Amino acid sequence: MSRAQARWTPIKVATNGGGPYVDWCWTDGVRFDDPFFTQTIERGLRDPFRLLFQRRTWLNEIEAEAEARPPTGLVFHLSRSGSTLVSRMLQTLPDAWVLSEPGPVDSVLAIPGALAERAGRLRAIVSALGPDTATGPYVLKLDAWAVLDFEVFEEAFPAVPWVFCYRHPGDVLVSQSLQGSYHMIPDTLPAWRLGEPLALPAQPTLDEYGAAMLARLLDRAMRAAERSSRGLLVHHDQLPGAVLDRTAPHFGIQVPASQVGAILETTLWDAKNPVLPYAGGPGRRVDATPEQVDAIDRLAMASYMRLERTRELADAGP
Amino acid sequence: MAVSEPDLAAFVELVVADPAAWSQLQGIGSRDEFCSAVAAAAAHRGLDVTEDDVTRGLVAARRAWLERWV
Repeated sequence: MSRAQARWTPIKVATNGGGPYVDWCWTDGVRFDDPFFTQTIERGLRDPFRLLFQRRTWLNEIEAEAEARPPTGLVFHLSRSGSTLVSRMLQTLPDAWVLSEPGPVDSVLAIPGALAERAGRLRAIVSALGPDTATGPYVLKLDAWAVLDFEVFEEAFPAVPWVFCYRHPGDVLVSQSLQGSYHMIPDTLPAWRLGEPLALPAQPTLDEYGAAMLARLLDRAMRAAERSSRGLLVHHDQLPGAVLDRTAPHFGIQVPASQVGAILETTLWDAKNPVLPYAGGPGRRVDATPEQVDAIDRLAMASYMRLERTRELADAGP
Repeated sequence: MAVSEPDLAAFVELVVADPAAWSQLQGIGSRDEFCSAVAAAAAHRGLDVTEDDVTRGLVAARRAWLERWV
């Protein structure tokens, strides 16, 4: 299991009149083994000592002090595509340090600047979030929209392997329509992070916006796969096997035979709510409305099929 | 830090910088007991911190965390 760590952990990055600052929580004795980083911090902050006695530093102080502590691997994803299962399975490895969607990473990516500046901030916060000792793998699972900033990750960590988890965008759109993520709400992500405007009809519906956003994420994954030799595309249908067979080796992680049972045990439970058994079943697109089917067909399927062709070629080998 | 009461803010900074002072304040599960312990420890350092100040400090810290995206 992920170990506890005697340390201060950055839990929040925000900006005031003096510039970007970091709030730190004393996390000695807190196990980072929840499905998401935020849940672990919430748990830690129930302790009044940890809640009251926080540190605050300027972000540029840690940029100046940043040690070279790159992650072992990065997990990008389309959302609702199995990335939490990937991180949960890797969390079970001895000495693994696996963080799932740590808010401070997104907060530093949300600060505009030149590529080198943004990469410097990213290196600093990823280093600050990392383990104190590099005895095991350090894996970062990112927010779904982080692939929009792939160039920043590439600049910050040019040698670090990455995976992109995805599935049929119809499955994702239907799931998102039931419980939506931040990036699927129009205008929550600033235009500069999206790059060129989304390919949207005039007065788009929420389904059309969502489909266009998914297409954008798939296109950015495609661009990343074209420019980086360190990527691996993982379709939801390839899970959970692709964690042991492909993702772990891709990250250079040796999985001891004695750990395989424990890792597979994880797959029996709902990755995001592990008190519940994993339900499985067909993708959510079987419940799609005609409007959702239409939006996906018009706005996202071409991007999905391009990525699928690329993955199939890569999976087939040279 | 999110704490606004000056003496409490000063005490938080003192404690954060002095891990030797932590043992008497860590591991207290009850909020009332924690507030009382912080007020007493602050008084020991010549700072005027009431239990209500500590309660407000905890609320402010909680709020700062909950509003982290705002």
